[in-house]
Amino acid sequence: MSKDTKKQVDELHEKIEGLEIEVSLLRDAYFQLEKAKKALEESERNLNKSQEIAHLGSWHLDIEKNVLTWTDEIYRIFGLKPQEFAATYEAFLERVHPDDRKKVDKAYWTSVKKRQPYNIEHRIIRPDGSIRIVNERCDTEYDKNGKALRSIGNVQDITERKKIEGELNRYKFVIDQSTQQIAFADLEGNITYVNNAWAKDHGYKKEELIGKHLSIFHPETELTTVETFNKTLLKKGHLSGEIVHKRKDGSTFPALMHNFVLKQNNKPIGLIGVAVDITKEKQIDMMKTEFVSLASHQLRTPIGGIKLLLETFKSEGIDHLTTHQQEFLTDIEVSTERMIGLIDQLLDISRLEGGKIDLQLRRVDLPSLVEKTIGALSHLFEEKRIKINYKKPSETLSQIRVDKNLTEQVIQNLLTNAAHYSRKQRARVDISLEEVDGVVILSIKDNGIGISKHEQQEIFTRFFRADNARKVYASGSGLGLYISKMIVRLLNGQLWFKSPGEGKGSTFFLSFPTVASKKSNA
Amino acid sequence: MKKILLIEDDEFYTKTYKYGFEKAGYEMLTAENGDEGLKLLQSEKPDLVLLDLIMPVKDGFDFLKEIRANEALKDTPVIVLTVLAQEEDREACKQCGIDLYLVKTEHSLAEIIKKTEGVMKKRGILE
Repeated sequence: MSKDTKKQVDELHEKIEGLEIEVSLLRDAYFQLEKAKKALEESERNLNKSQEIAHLGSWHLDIEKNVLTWTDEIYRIFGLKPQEFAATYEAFLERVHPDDRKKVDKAYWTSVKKRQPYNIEHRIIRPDGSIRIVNERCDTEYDKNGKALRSIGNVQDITERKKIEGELNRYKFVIDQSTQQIAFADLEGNITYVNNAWAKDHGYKKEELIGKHLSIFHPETELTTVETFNKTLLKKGHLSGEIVHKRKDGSTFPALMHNFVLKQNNKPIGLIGVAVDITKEKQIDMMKTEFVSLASHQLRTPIGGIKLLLETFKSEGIDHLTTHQQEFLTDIEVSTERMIGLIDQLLDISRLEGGKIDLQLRRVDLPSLVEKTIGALSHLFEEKRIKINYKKPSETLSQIRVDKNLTEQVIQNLLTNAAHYSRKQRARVDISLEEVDGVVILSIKDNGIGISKHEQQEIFTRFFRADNARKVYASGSGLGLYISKMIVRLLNGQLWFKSPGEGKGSTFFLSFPTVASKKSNA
Repeated sequence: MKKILLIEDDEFYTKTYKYGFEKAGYEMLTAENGDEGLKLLQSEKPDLVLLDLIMPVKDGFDFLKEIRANEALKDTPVIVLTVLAQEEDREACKQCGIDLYLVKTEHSLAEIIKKTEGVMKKRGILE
């Protein structure tokens, strides 16, 4: 080979090597490009997916060329296929709800001209006629002369959110307008919300109250009650009770409160208070009690007068009267006694219901009290030929702590009932006492008319008289057991009965906790 | 004859008590309210007062307070004769110092006369 040829071959080799390196570089570049392309595709897929999950799509508007580019999600939101969309600004505006078009158009161009942020909520209509609510935002880019070049923005479908907001607003409206006072507070008792009634009834403006502590709504004297109330509230999760409230001007009113602990995922996150001003209810209650009390006293005077007049009348001798006249006189006396008894009962009820009883609690020996009452009623039992079997307790029973007079009244009520509702022949009443588990129980068992199954649940209700009872003793008031039940409840005891049914007798039980034990069986 | 002042606003109680006590041999003075009662007490100086509690113009409670504050009248024997049966009322009267508290509806006329005589004996007005 000549020297020239060798040189040429060497040059060729170099060139080939060079080319190989370039090819190799190109190949690398190609692979990098492929890799980048794949990464881009994946990134686009991720963007697409996240936009779908968020119902958020992005768009790009080339203002000069009027070319609108949408991501897949916007097509989904608008319910369109890319082929169906002209991809211009006007085409977009066509999809906006006709009532919103003007405002959207104006808002966008204003934002472009004035270089203000674009953020608007409006409705769109899908091809199938359904309406969605969307939130649109965008940024606009300008050239150095201030000419708008392009807008880059996004659209989010907020239809579901708007629906929930609508429902929330409905509830919020109801709470705001409620005539009951409603307040929300955090767990420390700082107010986060009050409704109109709470603010107004306490004499404040709503705004003044946010952040204030719940304690400002109570007078000093009530604060320990409030503390105890709140402690119990946090333990139980809900609590109702009467508490005194204080207004801005210092005046107070009684309120019935229903409070709740608000929980989220089972953890307490706040407090809800609902209060009702019960001034009127308390006034009415007091008026009722005063009225009954006054009426009873006003009635007692003339009726007592009748009794006295009859006595004086009789003191001048009634032998000269006809037998009928003498009988009628006796009837007047009996009728008067009944009226006095009824008025006494009404007075009792007004005092018991009004909470105006001054209890004289003492240690009492129940068996002696029972024996005393049996003695006091012996004439009644003799008259009706009822055999009394009193079983004296075999060992000394523990004492009870009760109001002696009121307890005697209850025992008397139970014994007279046994007498009134006894059977006509071979009537008997078995009375016994026992002590069981820190409680003394008195049982009074008769073999009289009994109580029918369907009337049993009403026995302790006011004015109730069973049909069979009315037949054998017409003039009962239906108040005796009602009063007895109230008294027993006041004294922390229990009053109940058993009766197999009509005609099969009844047993009444009266129990009180003994003084040694602290158990209350209320 | 011993003199008893009855201070009572109800006409029928007044009539029957007057009847009963006069029959038992006492001179009866009557007043319709605490005001009239005070006047009669001072002018007639009865041996004992039967006092109703609920009366117009001046009630029994005020009457009691006033006579107990009066040197000349504070030792007057007083029996309260009322329809009020509550402990609070009984206590309020006891505070003022009375000889007896009787609930009208709990006693017959004969009993009331007997108890009145009991008080008069205790006070040395009767033997």
